[in-house]
Amino acid sequence: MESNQYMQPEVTIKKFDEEVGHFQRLSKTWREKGVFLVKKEFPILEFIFHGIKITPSPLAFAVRIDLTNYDIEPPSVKFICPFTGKILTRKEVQTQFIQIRKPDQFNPIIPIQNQIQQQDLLQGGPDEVPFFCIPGIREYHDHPAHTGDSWLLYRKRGEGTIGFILDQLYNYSIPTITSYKLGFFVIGLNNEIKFT
Amino acid sequence: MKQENLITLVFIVNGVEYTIEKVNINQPLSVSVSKVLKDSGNTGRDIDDWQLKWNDNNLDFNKKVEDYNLPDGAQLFLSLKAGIGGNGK
Repeated sequence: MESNQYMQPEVTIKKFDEEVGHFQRLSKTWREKGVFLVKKEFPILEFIFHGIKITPSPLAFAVRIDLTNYDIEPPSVKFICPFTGKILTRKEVQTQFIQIRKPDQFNPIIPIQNQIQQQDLLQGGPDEVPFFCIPGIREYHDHPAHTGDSWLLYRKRGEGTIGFILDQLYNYSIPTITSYKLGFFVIGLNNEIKFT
Repeated sequence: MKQENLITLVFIVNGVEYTIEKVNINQPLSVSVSKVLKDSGNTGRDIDDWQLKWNDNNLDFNKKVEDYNLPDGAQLFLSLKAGIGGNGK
């Protein structure tokens, strides 16, 4: 893999190890939340997330977090196939990351559902590599629409740490996965009904 | 001797663990949250920028510890609310 590391590698390696250390000290807690570290190879960390609210618990998604140049740059987050490591497009990531925004005060004459906004934080067209659209993620700050929202406004304030990223990925997805959605087609063929 | 109205709470602040001892269960959660934010060096933000969860349920900072019947040693996740997301804003 080609390295774009321009920051002193020793500095990034130290910060990488600190982040891994924070995760490992809480690995039992993360495990209970269905979050596992499956690859640790500087500057890459890969995690898998399970939908622990349902049984059997599905493997909900996997991410590759790249800490190249951390923390003069924020981590990059890509969604990957947990089995092959292939970077996925938006339509291949089956999970939604819904952010619900409520107004500070509800207007009693407007239906509540019209006052609540829902946004999928995983942005990108169906065939594009999606990005997790919150400050603290490299792809957010690199996006042309966010040039006014520099990473340096957030660095050292909590965003961009591994704990922060795992928290956000978890909070906006796993608790909302509470049931399986099954689909089936009914095909009528020679007066015979088949379920596929 | 352990006093009945004092418990220990364990906060996970952006993935790092901090323990607050001798939390009075009659205090609002905001007292412990403010302390843990200070202890963790997270003082540059308004407390409303944070969200507190226990077993994936949001807790109201203004409610008392005993309102949630939190057990001694309860592990609470204190996370930054995600910033502006979506639609390239």
